[in-house]
Amino acid sequence: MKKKEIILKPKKSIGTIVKQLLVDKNYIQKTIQEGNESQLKGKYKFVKSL
Amino acid sequence: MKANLKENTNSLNPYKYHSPDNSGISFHFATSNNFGYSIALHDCSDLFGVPENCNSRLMFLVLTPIKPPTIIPRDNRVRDTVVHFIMDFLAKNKDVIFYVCSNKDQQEKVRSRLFTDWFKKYKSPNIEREMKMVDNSETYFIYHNDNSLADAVLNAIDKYNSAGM
Repeated sequence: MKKKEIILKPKKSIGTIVKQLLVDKNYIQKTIQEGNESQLKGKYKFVKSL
Repeated sequence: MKANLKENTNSLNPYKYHSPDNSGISFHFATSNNFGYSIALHDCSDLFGVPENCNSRLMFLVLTPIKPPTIIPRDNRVRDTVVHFIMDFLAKNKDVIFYVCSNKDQQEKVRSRLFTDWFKKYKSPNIEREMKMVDNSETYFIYHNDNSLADAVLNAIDKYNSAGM
């Protein structure tokens, strides 16, 4: 079966997005490690259930 | 496809993971040595401009050791839990999971090699794992081999890299 082609329209350059995600990752990890996980609510779109 | 994944993950011995207080932020598990870990999946589809009608999402994986000791004892069940979590998620969702290893310290390289070993050992015939360099960061994608969104993202990175941006 032929795969459907998907066209992405990134909001920023891929490099900028990845850099931002590394900053986000550090912030998310630090916040979780400090026991303040609830502060992340609303800031990111996390998966709620599997 | 699901049967193969199940067969593959049956050899794993994961810790039980749960969402604490149904917070909807991350999933936690505790090891037999009483160390905690958190696994979070952040939907980055908007950021990458994934069309809403493509029925796939782009999920950024964040694994966090909680209050880790200086030396973390080797525990294969941590590996089993993370691999099981990812495989289970991909069996239920047509999404693409990715994570990024920065080059800020030697530890990131160590973690990158560790993850690579984990997935080599538990490779499913239907699941692909591919690394793309984005600037100086190793970016790993895990997805079903028939996932069109993965193709789109990998092509976008190739285009970005070839443009020398």
